[in-house]
Amino acid sequence: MDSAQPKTRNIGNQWINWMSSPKLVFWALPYLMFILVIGTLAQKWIGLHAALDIYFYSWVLWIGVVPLPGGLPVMAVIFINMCAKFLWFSPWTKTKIGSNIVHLGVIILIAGGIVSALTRSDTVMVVPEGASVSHSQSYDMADFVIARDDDVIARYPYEIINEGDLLQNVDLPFAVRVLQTCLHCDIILRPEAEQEGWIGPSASMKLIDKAPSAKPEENLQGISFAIEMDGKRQAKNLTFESFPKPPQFKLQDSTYTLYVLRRPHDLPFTLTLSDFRKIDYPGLRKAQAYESDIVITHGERSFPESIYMNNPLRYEGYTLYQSSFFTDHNGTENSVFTVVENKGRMFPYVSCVIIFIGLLLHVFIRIGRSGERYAQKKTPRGASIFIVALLCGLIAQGIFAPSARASINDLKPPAQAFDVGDSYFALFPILHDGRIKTMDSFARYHLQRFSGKEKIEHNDEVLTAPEWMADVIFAPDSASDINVFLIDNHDVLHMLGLRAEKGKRLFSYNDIREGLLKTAPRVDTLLKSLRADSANKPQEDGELLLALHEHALIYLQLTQSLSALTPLNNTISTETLQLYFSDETLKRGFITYMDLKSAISRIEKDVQSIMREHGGDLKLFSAREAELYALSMRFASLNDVAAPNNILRVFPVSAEILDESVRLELLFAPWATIRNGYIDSSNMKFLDKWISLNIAYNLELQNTFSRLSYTLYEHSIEHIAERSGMETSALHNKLRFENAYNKAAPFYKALYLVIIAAIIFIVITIADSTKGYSAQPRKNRHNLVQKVLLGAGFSAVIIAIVLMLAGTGVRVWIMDRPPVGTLYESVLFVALVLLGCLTVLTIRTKQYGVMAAGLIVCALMLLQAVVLGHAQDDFKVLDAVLNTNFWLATHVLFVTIGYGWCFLTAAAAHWFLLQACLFRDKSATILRYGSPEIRLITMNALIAFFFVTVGTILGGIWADQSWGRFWGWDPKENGALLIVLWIAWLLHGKISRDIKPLFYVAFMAFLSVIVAVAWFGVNLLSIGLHSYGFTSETAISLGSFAAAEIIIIGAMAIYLQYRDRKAASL
Amino acid sequence: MIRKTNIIILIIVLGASFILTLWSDNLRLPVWMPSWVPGQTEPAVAGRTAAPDVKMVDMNGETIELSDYRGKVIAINFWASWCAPCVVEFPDLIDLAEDKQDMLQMIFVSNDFKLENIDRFVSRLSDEHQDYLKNGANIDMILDKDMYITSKVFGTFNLPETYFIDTSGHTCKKIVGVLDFSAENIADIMSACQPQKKP
Repeated sequence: MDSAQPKTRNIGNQWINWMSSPKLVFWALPYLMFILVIGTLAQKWIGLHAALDIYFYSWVLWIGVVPLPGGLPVMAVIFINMCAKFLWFSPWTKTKIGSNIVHLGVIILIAGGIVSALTRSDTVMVVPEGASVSHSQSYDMADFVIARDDDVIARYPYEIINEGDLLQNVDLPFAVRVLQTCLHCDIILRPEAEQEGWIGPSASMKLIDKAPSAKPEENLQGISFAIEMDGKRQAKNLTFESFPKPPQFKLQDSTYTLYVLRRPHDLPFTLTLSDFRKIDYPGLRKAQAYESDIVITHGERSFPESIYMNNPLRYEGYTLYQSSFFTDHNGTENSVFTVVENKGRMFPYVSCVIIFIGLLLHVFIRIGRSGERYAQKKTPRGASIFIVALLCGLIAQGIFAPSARASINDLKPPAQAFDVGDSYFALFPILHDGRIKTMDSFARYHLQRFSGKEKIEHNDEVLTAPEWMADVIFAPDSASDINVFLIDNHDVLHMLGLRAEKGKRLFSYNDIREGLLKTAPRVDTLLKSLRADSANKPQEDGELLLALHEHALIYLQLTQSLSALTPLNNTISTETLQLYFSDETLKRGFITYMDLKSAISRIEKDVQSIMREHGGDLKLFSAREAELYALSMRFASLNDVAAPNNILRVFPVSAEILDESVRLELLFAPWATIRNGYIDSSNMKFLDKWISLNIAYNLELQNTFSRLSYTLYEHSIEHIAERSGMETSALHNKLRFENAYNKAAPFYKALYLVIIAAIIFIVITIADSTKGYSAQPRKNRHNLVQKVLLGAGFSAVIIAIVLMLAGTGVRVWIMDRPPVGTLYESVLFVALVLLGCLTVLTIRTKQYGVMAAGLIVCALMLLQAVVLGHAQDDFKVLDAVLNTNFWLATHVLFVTIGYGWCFLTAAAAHWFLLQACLFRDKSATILRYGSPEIRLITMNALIAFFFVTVGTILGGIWADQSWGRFWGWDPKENGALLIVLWIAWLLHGKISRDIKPLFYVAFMAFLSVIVAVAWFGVNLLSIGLHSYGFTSETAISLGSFAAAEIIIIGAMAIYLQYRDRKAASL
Repeated sequence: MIRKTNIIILIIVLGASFILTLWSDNLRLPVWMPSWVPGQTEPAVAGRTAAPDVKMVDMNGETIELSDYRGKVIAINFWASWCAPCVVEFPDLIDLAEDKQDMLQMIFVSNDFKLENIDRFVSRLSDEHQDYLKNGANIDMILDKDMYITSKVFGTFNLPETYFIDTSGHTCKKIVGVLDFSAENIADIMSACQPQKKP
């Protein structure tokens, strides 16, 4: 045998061993995470495209003058490692089958990325309604085109023309000198000093280069040039894409036009846009859906299709996605499609299935292998007693207010004198924020928004939200004395001319009325500045002042919402009234705006005569003439101030009298109904009843108010049910349950219970810890008091879970979608998952320290939800792209379950670190691979890894369905990937033993920060397609949480490390 | 040693992914109609509101009820001589009534306070219009100076407004402001005001 051969084989084997070693991925992953983090942060300042070029899709990353590997080599290393591992070192044994399949899935995923990079093309297609188009256009490649009499005679790709080039063509009697090209131009005013030599519009406008937009179709390509003939410069001009009047000139009987076109790509078919529809949520300028009805013509064949969000068309290797739309200067709607060709499109789908199967197998095999036998799943006796006792108490009190259970035919007498909250007034359906909600929800939303509270104190009484709202709309004069406006900034108080008083943070409208007038000019200035440039954000006091003005404006609109139906102050003599109003009207004893409107033409005619007669001098008016004048002024004032009011949308209107544009809207505001002529014989009675309701409220006629509330409620329900096709009973139940949900506030109650449970489990844990460390739960380790406490703790947790499940169930039913559409909802869901998994884990393992740690995290999340939920409607309608139950139920559910499990893993790691700190002589036992503690952490980390990984890939698939690309390195996507990589890194580090057990546990504890940053932190960047849910409170909470965790985990790790070193040196 | 099984598995899966892409690219999904979009509410196919069968006394002193005109489309125009747009569209409404004699009943409900105001306005119309107004079989003129029928019964507060009632006595259209007298619009209205078929 040749002696070189064994050596070659040995070198070859060494290379293979090295390439497939988990050490390689262990060291590559943190570097990839580093690129992920800095590339994501950089997007804030340099934009997505630049970040992609510099960080993610580069071979070399320059940090100053230091060259480092870019994203591509790192991903290549991981790919090669996966392939080598799979091909050489992946036997199909029971313990390895799961991880083998996962590795296969990762290989397919990355291979798909490579195929996509090589074969993908993205173009855009803009189609006006009614037009046919058979080509798409490049996003970022443009051509400079010169046409003679509409025939293209020269086309120059942007890539080949540079500044200073002289473009000549045999067919052109002139040459073009390129002065400037830009692929993403901005158009600004040309300074006077630079205008010489520029002709046409170019004399007043100039092109400058700017950073590329995150949406490629928004980038504007342009060119500035000079026409030269016989070597002499004739004129300078410019042109850009979609220029309505591109430069044109006549020469030698021909007309030459110069323009910029995005590079066209011919398609094998023609697309005709028959109709484009943007469907807004009723009463809201927010798109619920975009839809394009098209006809595809391919040779002899022709067929209709529909393309809309989350439903692309795939045909002949092309995928067409509904990207956006716009209305052009002719008023024609244009639908914008993204046209994608990608031979790697299905790889992520296949990969997702493979990884799902692999991780599932791996987790189940690990669970099966687990040899630990924990205490049986027995609920302690004390807990049984508590559960029964508490449930009895809950049933007796009723989780939901008794009145909410009243059937539509069962009027319950109010509990106290004039109790608005228990009447059907609180249940009134009202259209707000794109959905039908109860008056109670509407009132709570506004009260919270203004005051930060759901109930308000006034004259030693506590007013609920519907009671406050009733005062505002029926008795605005008295409502203006109620302290509802929260002002706790001294600068703002000073600007308003108010004194800061200790303990006083709420002010009434009457308190701030003058201050609002005084600060109105300042607010105007702030608004003008914001409109000029949205980056001109005011200082904190300016922002607060703007918010206060906005709240006051909304409040005023609320007070004026029923002014058309409110009896006007009647100081006119009966004789005068008889001249203008019918006996029928006068019988009532009062007149309203609507009565006045009927008679105003005559009144105004008479007032004009009076004014002419007295030369406009009011002092000469008689008493009757003054009354008439006051009446006409009142009418004018209501017309100007109140008529635009559109806030209290409670009026039903028959579909046949509505315009096409508002046909889908179910309820209208009183003023809008009158203004637009939406009143007819069917809703006239409704109007009259509202007038009577108003009077009944002001005269405190309880029975009349209750009876009218019921009648109006019934009428509204029937109307909405008829218009929407719902069953009346179903609609009634939804409103009833929404009302009950608001009153029950299940998540608030759950928060209190979780806090109580956390305290109990902390006490139990401390008590257990005093007895010393035990890897296994000891029998009979608790005395009676501790057992009762334990029972109470479990009871509290179980009731909290029941409340949260009930609350979640009600939300799903009311909104008809999975409960994870908004950040608020996802926080609640993650808290629920965490609580559930924590309870099951604790019952099985008796690790009460883990329970305590987990409950603290859960309480923090519920608290954050309370903060997030503050001053916004809990039940928000979704953006068009999120409006898909399938993807909400899959991607978002998986990811949120994953987040919950990550927090559980982190909680367990926190506890075990603390145990290691407390039990000095046992820390080595705890912090070693193979210990029950580390096995528990690893098991839960694997489950979390399963959910987060599959959820992230499903998110990519959803993005492919919606936007035509699986992965865009969007901050939210990067955040999710960071969690996946973090766990993968730790798991591989454990396998390769490259990470010490102490750091393994510490970094698992740090998972809580990773998840918090990935979940909330990316929103702080306010960039990317996933920006939502950001508030300044979130930033403070996140920062505090991360800082606290770093200190706590860091302190414990450093202490343990120091102690180990000291022990080792001894 | 390289595992041949694993190579085969990898090649198969890669190939399958690629083939799946090519296959799905040419797979035409069925046409999805937009009506299923969640949250969108189509107006229910429900019955129209019955128009109030109010008794009105015309300027000749005769009592009329809307039910007298079942089988015809009824147009009730609320107007006043001091309302400029009303005055502008008035002759066109007379022409419409004359054009659709067999299928349309035109009822003019004036909010003028005095009969003299109406007389003065009518005297300024062309002879043909005056003649048809006086003698046309399908025209009624009502004076509603109390505005009871206008605002209390029909809920009209903006002039002009025109109600169209279908042949079975149900409201089929309400026009706020001046009517569009184009042939297409009139045809649409007349067609919409035919009796609704039950689903």
